[in-house]
Amino acid sequence: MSQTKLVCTGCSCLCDDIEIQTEGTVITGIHNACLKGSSFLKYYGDDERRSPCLVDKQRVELDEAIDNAAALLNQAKNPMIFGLDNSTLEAQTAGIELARTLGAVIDDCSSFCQGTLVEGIQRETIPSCSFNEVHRAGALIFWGCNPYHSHPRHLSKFSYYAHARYINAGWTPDVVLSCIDVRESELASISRPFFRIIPGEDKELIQGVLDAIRGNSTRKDATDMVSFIRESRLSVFFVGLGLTYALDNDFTLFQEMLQELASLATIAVIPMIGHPNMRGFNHTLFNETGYVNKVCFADDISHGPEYSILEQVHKLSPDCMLIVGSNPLSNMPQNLQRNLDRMSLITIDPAITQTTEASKVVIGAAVSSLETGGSAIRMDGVKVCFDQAIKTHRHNDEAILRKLLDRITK
Amino acid sequence: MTDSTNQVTVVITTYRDSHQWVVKHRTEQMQEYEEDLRRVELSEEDLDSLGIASGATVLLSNEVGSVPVTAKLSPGCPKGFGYMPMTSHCNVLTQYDPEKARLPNYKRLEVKIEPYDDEEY
Repeated sequence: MSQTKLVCTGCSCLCDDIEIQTEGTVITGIHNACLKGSSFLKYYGDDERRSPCLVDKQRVELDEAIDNAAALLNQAKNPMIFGLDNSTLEAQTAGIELARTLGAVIDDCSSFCQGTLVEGIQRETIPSCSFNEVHRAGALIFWGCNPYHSHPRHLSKFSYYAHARYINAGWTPDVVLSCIDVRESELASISRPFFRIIPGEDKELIQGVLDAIRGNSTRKDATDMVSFIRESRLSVFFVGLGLTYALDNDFTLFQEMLQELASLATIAVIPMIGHPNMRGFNHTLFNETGYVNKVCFADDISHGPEYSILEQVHKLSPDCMLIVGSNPLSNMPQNLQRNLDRMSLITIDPAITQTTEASKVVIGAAVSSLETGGSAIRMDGVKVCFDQAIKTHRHNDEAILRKLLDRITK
Repeated sequence: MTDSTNQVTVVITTYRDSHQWVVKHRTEQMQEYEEDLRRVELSEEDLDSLGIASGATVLLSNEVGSVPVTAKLSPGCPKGFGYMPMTSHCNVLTQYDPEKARLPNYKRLEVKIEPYDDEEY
C-alpha cells in the first residue's frame, strides 16, 4: 500500500491537501476530501464507469477512435469545440490550437456560468483578490450560493473559518459573514446578517444598495449592507449562479454597485465557479484571443453571443461538435438536447455519460490530477500545479488533442 | 381522479445539493437517488391548498412541459414559491429562448401544480 498527496479536481477550490492510499491503481483510502471530492475520486476508481474508446458504439483502440474523430472534424463545414473546463491548462492550450487550426467555434460552460464575471476580472473592471487576502477581510458576502453544498470545504479551508483573526473568546472568526439567498440554507443559518429575497429580487436589492450609498434607500437590508461594508477594511462578494441567473448574465448594475461601494471601502469579487478549471479556460483563451469564451476562428478571431454553446446548439450551427469533459446532454434544457442529438458528436471524457452514449466517437481519457499531472487556475485566480497521483494506461486530454491536431489536414 | 380545482401556481428556484454528488457515484443507490431528487419543496399553505400531505405526488406543468414529482413540506418556504434540486427533471420545465432571456430559466420557473394520480406515475 502507498500513500500519495494530490490536488482534488472535484471543484474549483482545487484543495491541495488530499491524501489517498492506493494498492496498485486502486484507491483504498481518501483523507481530507469533502463529500463531493471523495465521491469524485471514488467514481473514477470504478472501471465500470470509465469510458472506453468507441466508434459507432463499438469498442476500438485509441488510434482508431482518433482517426475517426479526425476524419469527422476534417469533413465538418462548421466544427465546434466545447468544454475543456475539467482539463489542465496544457490541454486547454492544445484545444484552442485545435480550434484555431480547424477554423472552429470554441466555447465552454462559462458562457452560461461565471464567464461574464471572470471577463470583468480579467479586464480589471471588476476588482478581485486571492483567498490569502480573504483571510484578512472584514466582511464576506455570499450572494446566490450555498458553499455547504457547492464547495463543501470553501468555508473551512479558504474563507470564513480560515480567517486570520478570531474574536477573543476564540470560537468565531472576527469577520462579518453575510449571505443573500432565496432559501434559508445552511449558510443562511450561520450568517449575520442573512438577507432573504424573493426569486428575481436581486436587481431591486442592488438598486437599493446604490440608493443607500446615495443616501435615499427605503430598503433596510440595503442600508444594513452598506453600513457593514463601510466599516470593513475589505469586503469580498462571493457570487454564485443564483445571482448570475437572476441577473440573466447582465452584471451592468452589479458593476455600478461595486464601483460606488469602492468609494466607501475596498471591495473584491470571487466567482463561485463549479468546474475545476473553468477559470483556466477563460484565462488561456483570453491570453490567446482577448476574449474568455464564445470565440470563432473561422475568419481570424471573432467573438460574440452567437458563438455561445446555447446559441450555436439552438441554431443547429455546428455540423460536428468535439466535446471535452462535459455532459451537455444532462445539463441543458430539452429543446437544446434535441438539437444536440441531431449533430455529429465526438466526446473525450474519463467517464460514461449521457453525452458519450449519444456520441459517434468516444475517446476515454485520464482524469486530471488523479491520473495526469499539469496545472489549473483556482476560482480565486491562483495557479495550482499537480503531479499524477496514480498510473493509468489512459491518455490525458492534452495527448489526445495533440494526436487529433496531427491528423487535421485543414 | 384529480380535482382540477386543487391547483396552485408557484415560482420554483432550483438548487444544488451535495448529496447529489455523493449518491450519483454509488451505483447501488442510483434508484433511491433518482426518486429522492424527483421532488418539489413547498410551503404548508400551498400543500393545504392542493389538499395533499407531504409525500404525495403532484404534476408540475408549464408551457414548456410537465413532470410528476413528489411534493415535500419545506417549513421555511414562503407561500407561492417552491424549491427543486437541479436535475434532469428541471430541464423538462425550461428551455433556451434567446427572444426571452440570455440564459435558460432555472431560477424563476413559473409552474402550475396539481395533485397527480400515483398509478399514472
